Amino acid sequence: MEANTVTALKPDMQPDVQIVAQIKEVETPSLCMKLEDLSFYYNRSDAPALKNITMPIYNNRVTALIGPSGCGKSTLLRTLNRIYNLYGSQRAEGQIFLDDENILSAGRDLNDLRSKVGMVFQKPTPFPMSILDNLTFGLKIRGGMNSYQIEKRTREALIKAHLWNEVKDKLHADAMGLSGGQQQRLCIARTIALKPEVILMDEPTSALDPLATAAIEKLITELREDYTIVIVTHNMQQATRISDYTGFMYLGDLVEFGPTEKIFERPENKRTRDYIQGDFG
Amino acid sequence: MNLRKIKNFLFIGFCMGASALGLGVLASILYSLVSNGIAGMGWHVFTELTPGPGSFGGLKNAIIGSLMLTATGIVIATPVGILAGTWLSEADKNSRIADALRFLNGMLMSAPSILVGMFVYATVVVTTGGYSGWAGALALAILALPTIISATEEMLRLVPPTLKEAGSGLGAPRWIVITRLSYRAAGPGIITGILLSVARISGETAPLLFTALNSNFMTTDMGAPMANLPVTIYQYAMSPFQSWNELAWAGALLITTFILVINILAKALPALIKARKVRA
Repeated sequence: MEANTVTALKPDMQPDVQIVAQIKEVETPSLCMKLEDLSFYYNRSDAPALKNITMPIYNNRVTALIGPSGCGKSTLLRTLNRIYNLYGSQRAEGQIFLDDENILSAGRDLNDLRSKVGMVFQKPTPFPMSILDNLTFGLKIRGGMNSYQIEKRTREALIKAHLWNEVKDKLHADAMGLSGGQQQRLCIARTIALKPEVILMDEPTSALDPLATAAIEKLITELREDYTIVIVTHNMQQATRISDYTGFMYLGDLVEFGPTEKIFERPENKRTRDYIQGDFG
Repeated sequence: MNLRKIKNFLFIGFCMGASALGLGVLASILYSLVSNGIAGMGWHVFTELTPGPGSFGGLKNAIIGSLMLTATGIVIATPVGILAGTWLSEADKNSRIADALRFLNGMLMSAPSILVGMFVYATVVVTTGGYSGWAGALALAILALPTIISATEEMLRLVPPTLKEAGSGLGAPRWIVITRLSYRAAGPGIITGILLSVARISGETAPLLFTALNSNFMTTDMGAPMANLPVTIYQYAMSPFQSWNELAWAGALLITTFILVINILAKALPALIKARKVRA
C-alpha cells in the first residue's frame, strides 16, 4: 500500500489497523475527527446506506467527499453533526470521534455538538428574519455573551464571509431579500459566528451561478486557516481546486481516501479511476 | 356539424347552464340581501338597542355581543388550535394517535353546528345553571378549533425541512426551532386560517341558541345571556313586525359584509406581510 492512501476498506480487512497506520504516516496535520466502522441505516429494515466506513478528518484541512448520486456522501456528512437524529427512524452504528469523544454515544448533548460542528446546506437556508437576527440566532441560543460581544462576533463573521460591505447598511433588512450567493455567504457567516471546530458543507455551490461559486470557493480556502471543513461536492474540478483530502464513495462504501492530488492523479482503485476519468457505469 | 361537435357543444352548454344557475341563485340572494338590508340600515342600527315588539330600535347590543362572543371564542380556540396543529405536524409519520386525531378533527369540522350547541348546553349551560356568554363563546371556540388545527398543521408541514435542519444545525433545541423559525415561516398561513375561522363562526346561529341565548339589554357580562346578531336575526326575521323584519335584514347585511371583509383580509394578508418585509 502506498503511503498516504487507504484503499478500499473491506470489512474483513480490519480497518482499525489500517487507519492507525494511515494516521501515523501523516504526521503533519493533526486529527480532528475520526470515523471508525461507521454504518448508517435510514430504516431499521433497510440495507445500510453507509457500510463500515473508517476515515480521518484532519484539522485545518478541507476534506472533499465525491462520488455518484446516492453513494452516501450527504448521508456521511449528516452523521458528523448527528442532524439525522431529527428523524426517528434513522440510526448510525460505529464510532465518530471528535476531540477523543465518541459523538455517537447515547448521552451526547446534540445542541452542543451542533454548535461545534456547523453545517451549510445545498440550498441557502436564510431564516425568515433580518440579516442581523440570522447571525445572532445561534449565539443568543447558546447564551453567555453580552450584546457587545455578540455585535463584535457578528461583524467578524460577516467580514470573514466577505459579506460585510454588501450588508453593513441594511443589517435590519429581511434576509430573504439577498441574492442566492449572498444568502449562502450569510449561512456561512451564521455558522462561523458560533466559532465551530468543524464546518460541514453539503454541495454549497450547486444552487449558485459561477461567480457566486467562485466567491464561496475562495471563502472556503480562506476558512481553512481557522476551521476544519468537510465538503460534499458533485463537481470534481471543485474538489481539486479547494480540497486537501478527498474521499471517493460508491454505494455506501468509502472506496478510496487520500490527498486530493493523489486521488485525482494516481488513484489506486479502478472504480475511482473510472469515476474521475468520467467513464463510469 | 358532426356528432362530436354536437356532443362538445351540448356538454359545454350544460356546464355553462349549471354555472349560470348557481351564480344566478347566489346573485339573487345577494340582491335581496343588499336591497332589503340597505332599506333597514341607518345610524340607529348601531346606536340603539334591540326594540320591543312593534317599536323601533337598533342592533347595538347584538353587534357588541356578537363581537365579544366571536372574539372570546377565537381567543379560546387559537392557542389550543395552534398547539394541537403543531403537535400533529411534528408527530411521527407513522403515529396512530396523530392519524386518529386528524380523523376526529375532520369529523369535527363537518359536524353540524347545532350538535356543538347541544354539547355545550349539556356540559356547561346545564351544569352552571344558566345561559351565558361564556357558554356561547365556548361553543364558537369548538367550531373554530378544527379549522385552526388543520390550517396550522398544513402550514407547518409546508415549512421546508432544510429550514428546520439549519436551525437545529446551529444548536437550537426543537422548541426554539418551532417557535422561532417554523411559526415565523408559517405565520401568514396560520393567521389566514384563524381569520377564516372567524368568518365561519361569526354567522353561526344554532350553537348560540342553546348557549348564549339572546338578550334585549346592553350587557358586557359574559356570565349572563348575551345579545348576538345571528339569534336576533333569527327571531326578528320570523316576527310579524315590519320594524323587526327590517332590522333582521340590516343585521344579515352586516354579518355578510363582515365575513366578506374578513375573507378579503385572509386572502390579502400573506401578500401584505410579504410586501411589508421587502420594503423594510
